[in-house]
Order: sequence, then C-alpha cells, then structure tokens
Amino acid sequence: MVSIHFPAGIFTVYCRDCWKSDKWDPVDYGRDYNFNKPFFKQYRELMESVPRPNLTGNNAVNSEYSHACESVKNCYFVFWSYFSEDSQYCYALLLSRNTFNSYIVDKSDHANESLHSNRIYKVNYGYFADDCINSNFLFDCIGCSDCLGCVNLRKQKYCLWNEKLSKEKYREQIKYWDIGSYKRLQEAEEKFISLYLSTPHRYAHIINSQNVTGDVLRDTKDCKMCFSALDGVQNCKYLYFGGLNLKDSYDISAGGDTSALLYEIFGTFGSQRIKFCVGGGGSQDNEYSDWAENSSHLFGCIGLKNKKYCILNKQYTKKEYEELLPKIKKHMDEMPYVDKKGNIYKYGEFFPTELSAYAYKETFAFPWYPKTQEEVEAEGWQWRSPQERSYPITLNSKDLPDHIRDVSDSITQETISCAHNGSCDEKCLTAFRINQEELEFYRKMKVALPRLCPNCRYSQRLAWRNSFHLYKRRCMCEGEKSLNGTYTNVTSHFHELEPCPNKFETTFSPEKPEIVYCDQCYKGEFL
Amino acid sequence: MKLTDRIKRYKYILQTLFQIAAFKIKVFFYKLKNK
Repeated sequence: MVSIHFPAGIFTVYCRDCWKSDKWDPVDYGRDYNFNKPFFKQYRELMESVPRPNLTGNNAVNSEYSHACESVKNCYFVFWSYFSEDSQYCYALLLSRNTFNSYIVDKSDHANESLHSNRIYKVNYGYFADDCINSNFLFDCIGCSDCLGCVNLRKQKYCLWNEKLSKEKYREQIKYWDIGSYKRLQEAEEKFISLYLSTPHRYAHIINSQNVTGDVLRDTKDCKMCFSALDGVQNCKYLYFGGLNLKDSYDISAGGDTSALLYEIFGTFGSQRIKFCVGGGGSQDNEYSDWAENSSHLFGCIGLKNKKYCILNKQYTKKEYEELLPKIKKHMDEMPYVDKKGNIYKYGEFFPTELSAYAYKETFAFPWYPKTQEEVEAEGWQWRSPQERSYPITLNSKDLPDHIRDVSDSITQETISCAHNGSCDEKCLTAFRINQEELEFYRKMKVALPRLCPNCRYSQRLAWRNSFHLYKRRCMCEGEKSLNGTYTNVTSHFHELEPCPNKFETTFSPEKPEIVYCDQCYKGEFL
Repeated sequence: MKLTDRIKRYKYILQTLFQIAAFKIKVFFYKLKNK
C-alpha cells in the first residue's frame, strides 16, 4: 500500500479502511498519565504504539491514491479535496470534476494547470480566474470566454493578449496559438509572462470582504493575516486555507466547515473549542489530540472515535477527567518538555516539531519554505534524504511528440523522464507516466503533454502565487505611468498626475518585478 | 450544532447549488451557441 509514512519508520500503519473499521479500538492502547515524565514525551510514546492510517480522508471511492480528501470519486494523486471526481494531480479541489494539475480550484469542470480559480470550464493555465469559459492563459480575469493570454479582464470575449478582436479575426489568429503543440505552448507561456510583468496587479486578491488583510480572500470579514480564506470566514487571524463558516479562530492550517473557536490546529473540520489538534472533525473541547472523530473532552489522545473524557487514550468518568485535567496542565508547566535546541514547551504550545511523525521534506511546509539539510538539522528537526530513484526510462521527455494529435495510445506504456531530471530542488521524481484518463483529458483540452513530473509541475504552479508574508508598500502608480515606467495608465486616477499616496499590505515583496497598484488605481484602470 | 449555524450551513449549501446550477446553465448555453 502507499503511505504518507516512511516505510522503514517506527510506526504501525494500517490501511485507511482497516484503520477506520471497528476491528480495533484505540482505547486498548490507553495508559495512565505519568507525573514523572513531560507530557509531550508520553504523547510521543503513545504515537509510536497506536496504529496510524496510511492515508487519511473519508468516503474516497476508487481513489486509492488520494489523501486527506472528503467524498472524492475516481481521483488520482488528489489531496485535501472536497466532493470532487474524475480528477488527477490536484491539491484542494472543491466541488470540481475533470480537473488536472490544479491548486485550489472551486466548482469547475475541465480545468488544467489552474490555480485559485472558481467556476471555470475548459480553461488551461487559469490563474485567479473566475467564471471563465474556453480560454487559455488567464490571470485575474472574471467572466471571460474565448480569450487567450489575458490579464485583468472583466466580462470580455474574443481577446488575444489583452486586445479585443472580432469573432472572425480571433478565430483566425487563434489558429497560430495552438497550445496542442509544445513549442507553441512555450512561446505562448513566454509571451504571457511578459504581459503579466508589464501589467499592474491588485495588491491582493480580495473579493467581497470587509476589514481584512492577507491574500486570496473571498466572502470574509474581520480577518487579519489570512491566506486562502473562502466563504464565510469571520473574525480569524493567522489562517491558511480555511472556509465554510469558520469563526473566531486563530493559527489555523486547513480548517472550517462550520467550526468556531479553533486554536493552533491543522486539518480540523466541523468542530468547536479545539486547541492544539491535528485532523478529525465533528468534535468539541479537545486538546492535544490527533484525528479525533465525533468526540469531546479528549486530552492527548490519538485516533479516537465517538469517545468522551479520555486522556492518553484511557477512558475516565466525567468527574475523574475534570479532576485530573487541571493537574496535568499544572504538571506541563512545572515539568515542560525541552527540545534539543533548548526550546521549552509548556501547556499552551503546539507539539514540538522534533516529535513530528514526518521529516521536514515530507511536510506541507517544504514547498513554501524550502530548507537545506543543514538548516533543518540546525533547527533540530528531522531530515530524511529522498529515496534513490532509478526508474528504467523508456522515453526521454525531449523525444515526446510535439503535438498532442501525434501522440498514440502506446504512450501510456512509457516511463518518461522529467525534463528537470532531478537537478531541481522541487522533490523531482525524475520520471513520470501518462495514464489513459490523463491522455484523453489532454486530447480533449487540446493541450501538449507535460514534460515535467507531477512534483515539478506543482512547484512551477505555486510560483504563480506569493508566500504568506505581508509587506507594507506604497502604490506603484505615479500618475501617468507606473513607478518602473513600463505601464502607461489609460485613465486618470483620483490623484491625477501626482504619485498615488495609498499604502497597503501586500504579499508582493519589494524585490518582485510585478507592478502593484492599490485598489482604487487598479479599479480605475481595469474595471 | 447551533440552530443559527445549521441555518447558515443550509444557506451556504443552497447558495453553492445555485452557483453550480448557474455555472452549468452558462456552460450549456455556451456549448449550444458554439455548436
């Protein structure tokens, strides 16, 4: 079976179905709290004894290679997704189908190589695109159809490189930009990047939100330092990827679905008053617990379902639990866990990183904050060198047919080398295969076959969004032109010929070459 | 789950269903027009 755990690791790993079954009971691994040892040390011992699932998620139908997904069907290499089907190589797919190589795509159909897009159909390379149909290479476009290589357009049709054409002229010119050919695809990509760099961008992707700071926010209110918060996030701070009525929460990585009062959690849904927990859902009043399903009042527990009043997986009565819990919290303060670097972990701190079940390079943090082995080891965290890969390459990516129409079905039998060939720092798999569904999809989308492995494709896609850091900057509109002089304004703004005085917090770092405008100047130019 | 949360959830589900339906209708007409 495939697993998120290292094969030679110390953990007992069950397959997802067995782990979720009633054939075993995590309470059998329960133990008394030992007041002579720090809590985190006891927790780690419990971690090593309680079986762990190879992959997490619920209701995955014919999706053996999906992880942390809820109700997905016929999906392959799909992670953190919700009610989606017939998709491959996607991350955080929501209510979508027939979507490949995408990252946070919502309610879409036939999307390829897209990122942060909502309701798109037949779109290749759609970044921050909403309600777009039959288009390729879009950035921050809304309500567009039949467009190619456009940035910042609203409700447009037949546009090529931001230029409006007649239907006939568009049909004629689009014949040249046939992205079914890899050479033409590369040419289009280069042209798109130069257009992207010469066009101003809004300081943040914020839609229908009030009193917020962060990036990629939709229908949110009173949120600070939040990133990728969608649909009813209210009164939250330090959040990455949350949504569906999440309220009054702090320090969240993936959480939501009618949750409130979450603090320092990762991947918890439909829960209230949860602190320092990982995974799980439908729970209340849990602390320091992993994968607690429909449970309440758990402390230091792993994998419990439908339980109440447990500590270190041992069942207590309500009275015993309420008596013991304050003593444990006091003990955590009196005998804190001290890691190799001398950091002190008392009650109120998240789990020490060095006790994690995963090495740094295997975690979600690595693509966003890449670190070398020396840096990771200096922090006292785990490092595991990637497994050596020696796939028998049967086809070099350079020898792939240029046009998708020239690709025969026999390509599904080939092991293709990744164009990066392990030379990048993107967890390159060095080789990849094209499966039948994927080939059919590329044919349907009329797009050239990829030359990179899925991991390299993922890293390339992430480069289209900024990291989770806000910089205080001034609007780059200088009156007639942008600050670097590459863009000439088409309308006059409220500040007329003077530089715009507006300041904002943006994820675009000052070193980045993009032109960044405030909301007023951006709307003046493009809306 | 509180009643207000439950109502919000149903409202969200309905809203999402309408959004998907509207998107599907849009795609349907697009396909019809470009047949």
